[in-house]
Amino acid sequence: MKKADKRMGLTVGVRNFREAEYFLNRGADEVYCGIPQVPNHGVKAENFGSLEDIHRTIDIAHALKKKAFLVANDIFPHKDFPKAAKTAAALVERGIDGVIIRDMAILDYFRKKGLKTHFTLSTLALCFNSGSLGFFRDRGISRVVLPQQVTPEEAKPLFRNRKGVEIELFCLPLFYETNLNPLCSMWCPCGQEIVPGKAPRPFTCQSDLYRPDGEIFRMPMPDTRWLLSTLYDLYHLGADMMKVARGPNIEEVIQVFNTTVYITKLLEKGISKELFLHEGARAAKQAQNYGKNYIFSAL
Amino acid sequence: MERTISLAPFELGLVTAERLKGYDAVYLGGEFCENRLPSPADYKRLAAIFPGRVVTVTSIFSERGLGRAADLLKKHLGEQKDFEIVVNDWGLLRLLKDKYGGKARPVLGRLIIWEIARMDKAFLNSFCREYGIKSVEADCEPVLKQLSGYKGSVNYHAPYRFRSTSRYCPHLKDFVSSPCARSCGAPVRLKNPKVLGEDLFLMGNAYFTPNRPVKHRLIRRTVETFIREP
Repeated sequence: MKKADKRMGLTVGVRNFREAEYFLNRGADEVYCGIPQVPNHGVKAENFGSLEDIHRTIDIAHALKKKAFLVANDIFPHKDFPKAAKTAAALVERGIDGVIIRDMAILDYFRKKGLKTHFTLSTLALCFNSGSLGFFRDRGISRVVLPQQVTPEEAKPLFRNRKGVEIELFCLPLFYETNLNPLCSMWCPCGQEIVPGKAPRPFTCQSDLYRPDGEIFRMPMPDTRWLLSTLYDLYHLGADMMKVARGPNIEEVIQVFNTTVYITKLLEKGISKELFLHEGARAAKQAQNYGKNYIFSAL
Repeated sequence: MERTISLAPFELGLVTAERLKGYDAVYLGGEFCENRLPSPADYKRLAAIFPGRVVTVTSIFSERGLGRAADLLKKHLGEQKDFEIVVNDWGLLRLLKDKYGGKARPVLGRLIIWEIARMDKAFLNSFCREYGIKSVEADCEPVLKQLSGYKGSVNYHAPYRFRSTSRYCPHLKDFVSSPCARSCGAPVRLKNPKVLGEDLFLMGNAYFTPNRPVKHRLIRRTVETFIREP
């Protein structure tokens, strides 16, 4: 397999300036930051504490010829629109390179208020075919984060008909969700606030459930080999960016980041799929294979 | 209040004309799996036992599934005057507007409404006007509450509330765009008091908990899930 024509970038979710500095100096091309004034899909512990910290993050990203984004990937109550738009506009003015959104209402509002920037569609918005991609492109989206549950065969037409829209991926063998995350209302740590030192309630989708015949049922997901194989194919279809999500547990985010960098380098070397599956499986074994660990830890 | 019942195409062999008496319409298809998109033969089988209106139900689609849905639209919008379709895919919604604007009656399905019900109501009402949407689907009090300020009507599903879905089918052990033998069959009851507050039901590639019909000023239609005995 030949090398892809274009290098795939790496974007990392960060919670403060120290993390931004850490990842930007170790191979990240972009970081994205949340702030409480702009609602986003994450627990409180995943947000920046101050705007000043985001300004410093923008500055260091630009000094390194890299980028910083604002994450606004939640559904907004109307009362939050003016404050969110004002904050986003101020950050765009200050140099932030784009906004990650999920809510079409806020996207319309931002655009009506004259906010001109790069808009990324969160994976939470569910874009599974080129018609959906067109739907969001019509509304001003420049990049789509591909949902995790897309096969390479399904993704081909999306890549073929993207018409300038960038496509971002998760590092699938390291971060994969059993069910469609935005449509799931079962119990899991994602919906809980972190109490330091206290383990959150377990993921329903990772727990043993019992059928009437006494058999154990676990919600299924594809195995690591499939996830690696899919990642390999999506990379060679021309994915633009790979994503490492934010998390309240920095040790885990660093581990996922390092493994993602390694896996990305394997892809960039242009190695065969068989070799990638072998080496990728070895690397992925060292890292998490599902979701996030919600026990809080700081850098 | 309109009374309807929801059937997957492979359940057509399990119902009789007698069972469907008293319903104003039948929902045919599936909201969670693209393999449940009805075929022309399924509509004919239903017509043989039910003379009333049919509401076509669709899911999130892969490219291939969207292509099949486009073929279905081409056929039905040429033949049927009143074609009502439950939509759960942004691409299908775009296709309906761009190619068939005004000819079909799209209804926002439970997957899209889970996303969009929380959005600003001025936006939601304007979005519905833009896409010709007059009603939406719901199955729980939180969504009904979120729809406060919505100007259309609500079709309410019972006796099951949708909780989660995967495109990796628990029965097929593969993605839903793969060839399917429709082996999902009857609901599977799942228990674990330490994790689940109530029993969970696996139906196809989606999970549900029991719910009850409710009264609400926006509800104009009830949608009963047809349950095949285990």
